[in-house]
Amino acid sequence: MFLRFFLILTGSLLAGIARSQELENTRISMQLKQASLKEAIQIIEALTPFKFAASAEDIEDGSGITLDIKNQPLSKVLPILLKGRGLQYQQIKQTIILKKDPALKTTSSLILPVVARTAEKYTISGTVKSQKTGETIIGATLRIANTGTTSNEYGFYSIVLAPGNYHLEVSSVGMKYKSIDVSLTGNTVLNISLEEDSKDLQEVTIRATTAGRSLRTPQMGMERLSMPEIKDIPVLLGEKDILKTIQLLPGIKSAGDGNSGFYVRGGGADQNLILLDEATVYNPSHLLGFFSTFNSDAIKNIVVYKAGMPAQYGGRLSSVVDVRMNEGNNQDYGASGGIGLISSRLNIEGPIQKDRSSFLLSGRRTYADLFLKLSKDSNVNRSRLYFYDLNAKANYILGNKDRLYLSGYFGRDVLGQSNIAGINWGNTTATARWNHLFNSRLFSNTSLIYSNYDFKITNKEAGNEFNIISQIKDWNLKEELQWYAGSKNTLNIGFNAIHHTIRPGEISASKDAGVNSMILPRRYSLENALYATDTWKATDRLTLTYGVRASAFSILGQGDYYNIDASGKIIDTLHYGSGQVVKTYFNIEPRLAAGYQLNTTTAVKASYVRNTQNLHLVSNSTSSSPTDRWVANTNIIRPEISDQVSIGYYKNLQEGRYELTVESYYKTMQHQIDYRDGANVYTNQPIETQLLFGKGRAYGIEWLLRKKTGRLTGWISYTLSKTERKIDGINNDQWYNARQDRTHDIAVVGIYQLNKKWTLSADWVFYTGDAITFPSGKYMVDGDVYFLYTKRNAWRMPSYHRLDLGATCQLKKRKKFSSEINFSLYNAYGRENAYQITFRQSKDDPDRTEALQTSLFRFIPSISYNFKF
Amino acid sequence: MKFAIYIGLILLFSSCQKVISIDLDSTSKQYVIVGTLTDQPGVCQVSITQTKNFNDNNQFPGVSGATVTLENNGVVTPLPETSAGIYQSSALTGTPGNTYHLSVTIDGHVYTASSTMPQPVALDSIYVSTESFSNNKYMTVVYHDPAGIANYYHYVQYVNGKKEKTIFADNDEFTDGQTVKSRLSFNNDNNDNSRDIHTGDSVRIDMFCIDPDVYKYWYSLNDGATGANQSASPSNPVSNITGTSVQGYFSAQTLQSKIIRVP
Repeated sequence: MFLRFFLILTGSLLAGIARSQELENTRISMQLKQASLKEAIQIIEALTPFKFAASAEDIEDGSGITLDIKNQPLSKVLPILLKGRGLQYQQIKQTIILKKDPALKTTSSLILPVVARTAEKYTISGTVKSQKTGETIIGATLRIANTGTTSNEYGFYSIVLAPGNYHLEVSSVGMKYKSIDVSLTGNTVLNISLEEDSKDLQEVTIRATTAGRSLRTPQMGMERLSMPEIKDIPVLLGEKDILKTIQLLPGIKSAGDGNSGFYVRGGGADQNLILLDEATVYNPSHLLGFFSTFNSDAIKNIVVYKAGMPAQYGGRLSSVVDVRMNEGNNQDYGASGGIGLISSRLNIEGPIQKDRSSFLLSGRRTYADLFLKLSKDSNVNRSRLYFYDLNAKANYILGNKDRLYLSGYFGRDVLGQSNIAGINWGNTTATARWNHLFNSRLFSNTSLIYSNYDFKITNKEAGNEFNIISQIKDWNLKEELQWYAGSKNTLNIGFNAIHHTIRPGEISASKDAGVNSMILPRRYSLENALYATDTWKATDRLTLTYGVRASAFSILGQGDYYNIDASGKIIDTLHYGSGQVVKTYFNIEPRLAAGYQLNTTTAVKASYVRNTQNLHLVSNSTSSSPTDRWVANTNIIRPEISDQVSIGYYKNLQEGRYELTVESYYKTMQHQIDYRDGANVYTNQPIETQLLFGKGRAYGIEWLLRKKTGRLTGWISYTLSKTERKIDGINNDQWYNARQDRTHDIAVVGIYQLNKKWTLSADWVFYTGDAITFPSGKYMVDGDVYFLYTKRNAWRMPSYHRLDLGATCQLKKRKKFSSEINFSLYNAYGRENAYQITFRQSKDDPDRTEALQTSLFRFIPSISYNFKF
Repeated sequence: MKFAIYIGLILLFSSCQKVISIDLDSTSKQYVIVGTLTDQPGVCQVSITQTKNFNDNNQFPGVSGATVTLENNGVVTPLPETSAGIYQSSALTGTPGNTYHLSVTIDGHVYTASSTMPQPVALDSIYVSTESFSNNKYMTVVYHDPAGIANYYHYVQYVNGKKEKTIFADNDEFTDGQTVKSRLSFNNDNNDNSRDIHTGDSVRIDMFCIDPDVYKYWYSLNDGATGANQSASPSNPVSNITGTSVQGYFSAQTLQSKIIRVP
């Protein structure tokens, strides 16, 4: 009897809880303009399982309702709708009954701040971080009342609002959604900790709110990826690689099969500004471009700008890739790592002082040479072929207002025959940053950055010993102020000064080497920039970003500079002393963007951006080579300039489950550089004598349909584009297709969570073959056949397509230890994609010539094991 | 250096190759003029052929009926046609330091070229070594480069009388005044065994000292027009012959040869 009563009681209690949770948990988005309450109710009935019961006069009369609600629980929405009508509601199961409230007089109340009543405004600010690790979260979306913001590169946010009671919603990819009630009666510091989104299936399917693309900001041409989003996408040899994953996005094209190099909207591979914790990475690839320098264990977040680059970025024409490293867990010690087919990784992090400081050390090394050691051939087993990366970071919270970060990267490729010859190359970066909060609205970051790329060739053959060294080295000072000036304006102001040293090549040779020791003159330059930009919420729907970056590039002595004639011959030589300014190039780079929100789910945006580039990579090979040379502006090599206008359409479909983005762009490029025909790439002659200059243009349209929630996530992207060059002295001075001109570019990415244990993934890519120069004829010189060329890049490589499959198995979780096994198959149906096509006299019939296609990767399986404790 | 990189690439990834058919368009024919004069008594020869379409066979018949002359210090020597497309005279021997002017008239088109014969640099020796990586044998040419002047070299290798098609050309930009050991290693890209050097083979090296324009021709021919390399933008070589739509070169060059029997 007692037991039965207890069961009934708990049963009814549970039902009650479920009911109240339903109103709480049912979230809707709606937009009304002078609508009646009846219309509002009809919309809610259509969007939710709830039905309303009310007398007609109660809901037909009364003033029109205008509101714009996004993803609010019904329990919040109903009071807004009923406010001032003297109505109250009661929920019985699926029915909501509206009745007159006899106790209530029809007066307005201050339940929710719809209109600011006083001029006085307060700031709510703080840092968004992960509860588990203490890592700050970049780009978390914060929504409050009718406004919102995203956390900056250091997790900081600041919102200016009128006093009142608010409901703050915070979301970020891979994190659990959080909502906080805030009573704003003065400036408030609110640090927000988000829980990690577990792989629990139920939560995955229920999760309704994720960080969708912001419709409000005018920022366009931007893609933000965090590691959890991309970790299941299959990749070559199981090496997670952010630079390869971004190539699956529209407008970003792979530089070749398995290559981490990429082209953005018609730009060259050297026109991407690739930053690691703000330091320029001059050669972001390992092993001829097949792997990027970014060890995914150490990476927190990556942002790619294809257009509308914010004014704090400058120096490259076509894109900015801003990679940020993890800071290290300041809560608990932990280690993670992985063992793969070609490399192993280990990552160690932990607090130095809990909650206040932390460190991170992350290393990766490949072991292709360990396989070589298995060879019986002593020449093979003594060969070296490997690369490694080391990332280190430490950060200190020095108080409520100051935080210090130190981070560094060191990576090296080594390739050689043990005692005879070798080449090694790599990047080194170091960044010291100081965050300071002047007050809750003024955030400052000061960075001192060192960046270095060098390669060293050694030859130790007896009687022929020499070394060749080449280097580019930067010292960079940056200061940035983010001023959250009010509820309508956010200003970014800053400067940036970089000192570049380029050592084009230095040969040191033994006495009998047969080669002369030689130092090509070093080049010095100073790159300064000053910028200011304001993001202005002009109306509830219209937001504008307008700013300018002023850049000045000064070529510094000491050194010789030249005047050359049209054929590349030196006419005269100009000598400059140490510290003397050879020439300064000034450029004004406007950065303008506008975003207009059509309704709660749709926005249109437009932007114009000018970029300049003062350092140029001259390369004449199809794949990236460690010996490609960076050259700075000279009196002859002028800054490259690009102007890009773009427009875009953004729509969230099906309650934000799908996201559609369409962007179109037109870009012109000035002072583009190419080699002369017959140019000598390795010469100590002034490089200008080997170069030609011209212009470029690129235009296209990009579609991206993305699904961010549910068991199945992923995207479909399609790019239709055209890229051309016109260089005086090439192709009879006519426009020709740039090598990276590809008409169609399609990527389909899918990740499916089968159950708690298994995650399956696949991606398929298709693109039009590169524009390429094939021979039109042939002729004989001294008994051998050579090929005749008539038109530059007038042919196409065969179309490229490829399917990759992946599967991740989550192994049994223990309290502190978790691990997974990842299987992948690259090029699953074994398409023979052309890596290169060469021409030769036929092997079988010397009387004929033939085309030979080389393909690299077919059916490449891999397995890797990853752990974390 | 590039070689080591290729080795690494091949080791790491098993690449696969196949012959494919590509529809290459046809183009109007161009004349191909190759003229040489050496400091050795023998033959000054100019050959004239034409370009063909890619899918045609590799027979390049000579072009008859041209008027070919060579001028030096005001002395014009005609080169009569001795067989189809071959114009030669055995009466001419070049002198280092002299500049020679070639003139070819075909079908109303005039082509001219000049070349200055450089001072010869002595070919000291040649020897055979074994590539440590592949165990292939290769030749090394040894000479002492004269200091203070720019020198340009072109070598041609014959194995048992068969010419190696790889272009070997050097300058002294990084080796001025040094005893230079120039390695003639090559990539046997069609796995033709007769190109490789084996014990017992007879190997002859011809060393030509050439002028800068001819060096430029060999360098750019090798870089852009062999059909084999990684160059992002293949192109026709920079020729020292002036005239429209013409390929080839004219070189007044010194010649020295050495032959060894491979041990």
